[in-house]
Amino acid sequence: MNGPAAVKLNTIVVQTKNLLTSDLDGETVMMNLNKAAYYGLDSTAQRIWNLIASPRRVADLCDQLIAEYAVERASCEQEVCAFLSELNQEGLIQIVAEAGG
Amino acid sequence: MREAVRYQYDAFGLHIASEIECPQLRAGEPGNSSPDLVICRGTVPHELEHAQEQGSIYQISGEHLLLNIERVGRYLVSEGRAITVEPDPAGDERDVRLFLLGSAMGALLHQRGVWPLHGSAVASERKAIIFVGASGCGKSTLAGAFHQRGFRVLSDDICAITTGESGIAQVWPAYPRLSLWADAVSKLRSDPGSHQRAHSEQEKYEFPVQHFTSGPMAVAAVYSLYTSDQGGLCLTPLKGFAKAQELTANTYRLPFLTGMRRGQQHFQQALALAQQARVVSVTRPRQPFLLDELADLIERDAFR
Repeated sequence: MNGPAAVKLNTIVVQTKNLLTSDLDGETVMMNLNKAAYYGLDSTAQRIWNLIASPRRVADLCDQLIAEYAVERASCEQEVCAFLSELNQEGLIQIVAEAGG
Repeated sequence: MREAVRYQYDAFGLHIASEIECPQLRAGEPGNSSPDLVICRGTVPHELEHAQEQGSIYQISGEHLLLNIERVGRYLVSEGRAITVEPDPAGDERDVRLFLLGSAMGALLHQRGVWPLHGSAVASERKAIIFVGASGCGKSTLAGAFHQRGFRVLSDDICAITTGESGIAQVWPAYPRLSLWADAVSKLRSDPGSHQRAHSEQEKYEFPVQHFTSGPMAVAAVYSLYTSDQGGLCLTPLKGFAKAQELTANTYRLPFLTGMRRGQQHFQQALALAQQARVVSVTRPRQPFLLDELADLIERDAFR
């Protein structure tokens, strides 16, 4: 298969370097230096982004979010995996490893 | 040895000494301080060694950018301080000047860490506004309309933005000319025949600017112009990352900036401007232009 792999629950992910972030109108704004392309993160996305400042397993990330937000596990896991896959496609995160098991 | 003729100009906040005469530029103070930019005629290579980036008409190697414009000439822009021009023997001097003050100047500003925004800037006594948008969307025509209303015109193509130590994003005056298509000149109720052609082949005319300004002005708003086949005039203020995206997308010769690996500094500048200025998306009908109505709307929005 070509292209970036989909992010799954046992994937360990981390923010990439070569990204600049700042606050603008209460939104986190990121720029990918290679493409001069911008991304805006809303508050939930910001929280996820901050949680992957260091490598983290997606399942652990979801545990954390379920503890913080009124969200059901199934939909949380589905949305987080979709969101992280999108970030991965844009080259904004790195997949560190697929955790065993 | 013959001393080369040096014309002195002031533009984009730079003292310029040039062997190439550029009548559209404002004359500088003669013999005053050393020039920030030297423009001379000379031999320019066809290729740069160790080019890290290239497009169809340019190559970048470190602090050097080579521009190769067929039937016009080659330009070597170096270290933010020098432009060497080797005109094509068959080239038209108006075209040589056009690319000198356009793409070559844009590259030079990028090298200096000055952000060239592609658009027209006008100003009241206190603040400047900038019009950006695709070719033909009406940037220059609107600037012409504001000029007729007594506003100053700072630039009609490259708006040189700096943030400096104060952190305030300012736009520097370029030169006192507006470049208008023939139909735009007639929209402003002026006669194309009375103005100078800017380009050898295009029906573009240079329109002198009476109200100019010599110093930089803080930017209060940026209007990004779009045309539409339906609906009337519509102003939509942008928020958050959409503001920064709109500003960066309208960077003059954006591939130069990424090719020079200058994204980091640019990000700071783009955010400074996005934080300070309103960024407004403007849609107007393709036909009729509704020039007076649009100028009224923007004038009220910016200078109320």
